[in-house]
Amino acid sequence: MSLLSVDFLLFFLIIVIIYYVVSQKYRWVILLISSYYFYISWKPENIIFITLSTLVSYFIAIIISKSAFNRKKYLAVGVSFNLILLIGLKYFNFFSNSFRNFFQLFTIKFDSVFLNIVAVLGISFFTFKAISYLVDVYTKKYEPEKNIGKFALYISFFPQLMAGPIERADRFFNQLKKQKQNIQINIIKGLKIMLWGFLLKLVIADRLAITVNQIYNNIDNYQGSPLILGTYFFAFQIYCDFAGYSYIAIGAAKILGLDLMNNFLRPYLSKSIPEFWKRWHISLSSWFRDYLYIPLGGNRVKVGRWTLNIIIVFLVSGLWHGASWTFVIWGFIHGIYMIIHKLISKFKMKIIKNENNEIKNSFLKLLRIFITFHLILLAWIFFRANSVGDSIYIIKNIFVNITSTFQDIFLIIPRESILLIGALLFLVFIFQVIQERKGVINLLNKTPILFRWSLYIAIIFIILLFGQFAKNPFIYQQF
Amino acid sequence: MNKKATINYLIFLLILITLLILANYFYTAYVLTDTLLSRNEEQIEDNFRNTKILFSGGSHVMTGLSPDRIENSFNFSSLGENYAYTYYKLKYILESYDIRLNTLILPIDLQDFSSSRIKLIENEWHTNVWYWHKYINYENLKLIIKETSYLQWQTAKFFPVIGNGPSIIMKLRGSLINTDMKLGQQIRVNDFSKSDDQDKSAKFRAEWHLSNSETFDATMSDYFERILNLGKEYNLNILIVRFPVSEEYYKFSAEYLDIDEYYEKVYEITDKYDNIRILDYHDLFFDKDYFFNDPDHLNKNGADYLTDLIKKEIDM
Repeated sequence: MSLLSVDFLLFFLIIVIIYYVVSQKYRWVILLISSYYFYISWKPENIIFITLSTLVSYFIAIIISKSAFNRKKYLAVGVSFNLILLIGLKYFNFFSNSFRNFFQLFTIKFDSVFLNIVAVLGISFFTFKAISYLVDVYTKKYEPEKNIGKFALYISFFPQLMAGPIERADRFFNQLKKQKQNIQINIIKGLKIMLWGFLLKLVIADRLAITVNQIYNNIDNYQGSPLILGTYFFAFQIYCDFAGYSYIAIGAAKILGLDLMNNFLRPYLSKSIPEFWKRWHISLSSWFRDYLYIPLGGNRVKVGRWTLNIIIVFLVSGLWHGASWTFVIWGFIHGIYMIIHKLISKFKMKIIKNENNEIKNSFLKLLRIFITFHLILLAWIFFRANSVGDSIYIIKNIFVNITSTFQDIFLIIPRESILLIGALLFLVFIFQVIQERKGVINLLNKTPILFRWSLYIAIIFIILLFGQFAKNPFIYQQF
Repeated sequence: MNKKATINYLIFLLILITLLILANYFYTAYVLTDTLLSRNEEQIEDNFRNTKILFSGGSHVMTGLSPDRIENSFNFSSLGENYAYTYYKLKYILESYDIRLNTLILPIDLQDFSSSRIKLIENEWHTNVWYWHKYINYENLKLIIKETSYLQWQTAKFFPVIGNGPSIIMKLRGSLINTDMKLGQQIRVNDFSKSDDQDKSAKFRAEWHLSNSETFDATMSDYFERILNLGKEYNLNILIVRFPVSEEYYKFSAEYLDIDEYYEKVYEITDKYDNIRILDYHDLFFDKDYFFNDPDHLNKNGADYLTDLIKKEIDM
């Protein structure tokens, strides 16, 4: 059952009604049952892995909290179990293939074993939740959850099961305990957030996907303008796709009275790469910061060690996104960006400090946004391309024959669609700028009800009329 | 929830539903009627009683055969139509209409067995449910594409406006009806020989049809056989046609598949039937680009020329 289907809307409506009808004490049971039902509706066999991860993590956390000795060993067992589950199911064939290719370079025969494994939905997300929970219990950040049902709900909570946000356990359990409910506000706020998510995903991301797929799946046929168009489109596609999912998940949780962490803060308005990582997939980047970067020593180490830490974190982050070298290189590029940024930041500070001219500062700010966006764009090429070879082809050919290939764009995408996509992206841009400055919701609340209603109805109609309702999975759902 | 707020939300919901019903009404009355599917549907209703020769298939058939040149014929094809849809349409009219068909014309072009034909349905099935639900029920659709939803099917059936915003824009821009339709044939009048960049558009079309797909998909061949069996059951003469394509298109298509091997597989199927004749016109217009609208669709002149040749075959 996709979050985008009519089936989900009906399912969700029923859950919301039951949820608010039953006593507060048992609402978590409704959420747990519906989460497992939601998960089973995708692939029933996947239930084994999420249940295993839940049970092992639950019991090991209890053991850790009760043990005076060997706590580290228990933690290692729990974390290793989740990592083995993740690596075994997601990366086994990738590593096997990579080993074979590596040995072939030295003409050594290496018999790789390939497993016929089904993709386990949401595995990258639920194993990371389980690992952060175990580490937090080990570091005594909080006590382990005694109620196994509530813990199972934390791991499987359906709005965020497929693609996050990777919620932290303490935040989640605290909210379950508090049970503060202003149903009316929750529902209205949640619906608005969901609506925005549907617009981003169904209307923009899925419409852009048609062109991006056409170009990136046949790159040998293109040079110049179509490659530029495809790369720009992908940058907006992946943002609208993933932010769209996050907003739907956050909105759905809000309707159920739970506040999930924000996952995006207008990332393409970032003025530097480190800022981008504070605004893009926040739940994952903060996870890597807390559970990998800081344990490695963070920035309280010598420059050489720090550089190594950054590279490790970004390589792992790249690999987390998918079992392919394209993702690893994407992560590596971002790691290099971070290192370069650190190296030049002192020089950059001097420039900024010497400037008091407001116009020049605004120009510098726009320039920094422009440069940061294009650095991100360069890295996205590796993220989207079907192979490393394809990425290199694109980089080599993206500026070749730009003017003579301009007309090719109209073979790929009709003029009407370009107008529509342009208008929608402009709408999103305006919303982002307003949100950055004053906050859209705050501003809307000050407008007359007629204006607000007209706007909501217009957005609903844009979704209904221009949504791509074929079942296009979310990009991050595949990770 | 306070009373005033509840009333407000109910009013909002009421306005929304009313507007949706109105939009759906206007779409059905003023936009849908201009679409090719709707016009084809209207014309078959007017003509099925006299129809003895039926042209079925996708866009190559829809643009490439002129029913006005063969008595009692009708072009019952639609853009992007694959063998599965053709099978259900044919089955429906044979079983439900008082139609006396004796000849069926089917295409066997390079993209016809490609899995991209299924992808096309997967991407677009929900936008044309208002048309397809008559011919194919939900259970049968589910056999062709797995990712469907009964609720979505029903929603799309009753609210064709959903997902069809682009056709509203086309209607407003006056570009929804930019081609005539006569006895089901979409009449295209461009001259491909005057195209600025024939190679590029041919390459793009070949890529669109054949890249990233299985060129001989099992589901498509299964439905192809079902059509042939249906023809046998109803004693139809079946003419299977390799439609003319431009030389440029053919050249680029060869980059995606082994054409000889492809047709060996097709003929393995057709050899099992004795009510079939195969007409190979794929290179008929290799040096006559002016008969094409674009790299792989005939214009009206090309369609008339081809139809006259086929008429002779039918008369033989």
